[in-house]
Amino acid sequence: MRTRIIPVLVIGLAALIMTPNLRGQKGALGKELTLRQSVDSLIMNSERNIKSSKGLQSKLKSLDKLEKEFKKLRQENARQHVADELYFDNFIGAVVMIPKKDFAVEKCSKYKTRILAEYDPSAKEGFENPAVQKALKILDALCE
Amino acid sequence: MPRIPQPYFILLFVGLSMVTAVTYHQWRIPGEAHLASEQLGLEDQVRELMKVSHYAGEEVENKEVNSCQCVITATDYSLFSFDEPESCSSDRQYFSNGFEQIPLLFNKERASSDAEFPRICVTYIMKSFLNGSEKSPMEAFSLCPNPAGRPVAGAKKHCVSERYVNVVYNAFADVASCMRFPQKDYLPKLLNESGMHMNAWGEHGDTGISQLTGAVLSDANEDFSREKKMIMNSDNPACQRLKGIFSKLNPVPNKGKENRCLLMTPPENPFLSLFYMGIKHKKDHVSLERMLKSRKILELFARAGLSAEQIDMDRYYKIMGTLAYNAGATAASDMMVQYLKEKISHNKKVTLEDFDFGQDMKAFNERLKAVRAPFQIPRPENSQRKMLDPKRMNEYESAKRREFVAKDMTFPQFLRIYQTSGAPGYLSFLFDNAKVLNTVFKEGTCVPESYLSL
Repeated sequence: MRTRIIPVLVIGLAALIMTPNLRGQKGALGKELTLRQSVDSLIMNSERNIKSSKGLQSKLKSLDKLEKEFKKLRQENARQHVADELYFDNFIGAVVMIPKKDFAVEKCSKYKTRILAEYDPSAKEGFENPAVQKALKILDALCE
Repeated sequence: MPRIPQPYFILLFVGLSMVTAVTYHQWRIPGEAHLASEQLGLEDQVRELMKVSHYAGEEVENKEVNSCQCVITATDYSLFSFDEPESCSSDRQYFSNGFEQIPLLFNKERASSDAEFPRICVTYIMKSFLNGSEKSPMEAFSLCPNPAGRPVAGAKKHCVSERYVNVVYNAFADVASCMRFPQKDYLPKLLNESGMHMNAWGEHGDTGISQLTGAVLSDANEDFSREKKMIMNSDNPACQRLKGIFSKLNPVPNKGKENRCLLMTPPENPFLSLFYMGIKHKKDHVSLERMLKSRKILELFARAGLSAEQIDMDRYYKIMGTLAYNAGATAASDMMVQYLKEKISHNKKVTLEDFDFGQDMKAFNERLKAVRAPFQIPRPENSQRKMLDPKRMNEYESAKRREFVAKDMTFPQFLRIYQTSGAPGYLSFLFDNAKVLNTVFKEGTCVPESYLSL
């Protein structure tokens, strides 16, 4: 009986030890998802920061910080799955379209339509480009 | 039975075959296809067709046949002939009063036109779109009780009279010629989206012939005055013909669906809707040029195996412009960039064939269908139709990534899987529409010969 349990225990223990390693290192899919999750987390935090910042200049500083951190994240990581690369390109491309120097809250609807015209002109409810939607949330936070 | 010597047997066999062939050649079964030698010549086919569609049964002169350029292989003449206004019920003539206010120059057939395709392409597109909506109303057509108000979905297809076709055909040709957008390249798209009908209506507010959405209209409004001024000051004969009408056109404020009738009702339309299409075309082209430079797309092509000399830039802009109409110009460029980068990163080379949207996608689409199937649920509004389960989208994305390896894909396949703006695989759908037009008409009549190929 004891001899039957030992191999089961050994295999189970090995699986427990291996799983986090696989997730964090070699598994290509795992690593891609990790960077995408990091980017999503950065976007979420930035949106929160922009919303809580007081004054337009402070909000724009948070936006600038987001762009820099985003670029750093991409530079520090190898090429990801093509779907994620597209997601990153679409997101940062849309964010970069938000003017920093002459930003004016009263022009927010124009900024939004410009982004949609370039990135998702036929967006329909439930079928929007998710990266563009996230960029628009950042814009909304700036426009509040 | 006496044995026939071999040389005589061969002669007998050949003789019998000839008698059989001649007999069959003479014998024509009504309704069946003729033998090749009995088919109408191409010119005769055109004459027959023009008799039915343009000339209400009158004989057609050779001069007109030759200028038609249209050779039709289909036999359902009803899709090429105009509806007679007298035979259309009143609920199919809601534009009649508006047409009265459009100058005769657009209402009548012209002796010479700036159109790059024959008028019959428009007749066919208008008549084949939502075939059956002549009898019962469809949601894809709307009515405008108030010409500046909100469209009311549900209408019969407007009577496709000669006047309606003329107005759309002449307006399209003049606006395209004046604003310099490629005419034939837009026909497969318009066949797909609005059927060139002025009151085509999508549930999300896609409006009129051009089927543009609110965001695009608002964005185009930024350039409205400048573009209008350019037309008003232009010496181009097509622009000159449009001056009188364009002087009265005003931007349509984006009020959601509330004022979309402004883009549907005559006499401002189809001109206003087509004008917006022209503005979008120009804006997209500028963005595509900017992206080509800033993202160094030609360098990427070269690294992926296609030198700048091998790429026909006119065709490149036409493919990307068509994609931009649906996905946005910058998003379209991002897709091209990532497609090329994926190839480069895996040391894969691309060829011109990788950018040919005429490739057979059937097997590929079947594979995609099989991957989608486990993640689909019945639609809440119609259990017969299915949709992807929103709760399982991540699982579906992972399954797609496992099944479809981007580095091995052609560009049309890549878009079918990874197009995130607009409809995935939109260009392949358009190519199917082009195939329809190229089957019904002689190839190249209504669609450019190099349509969606690099």
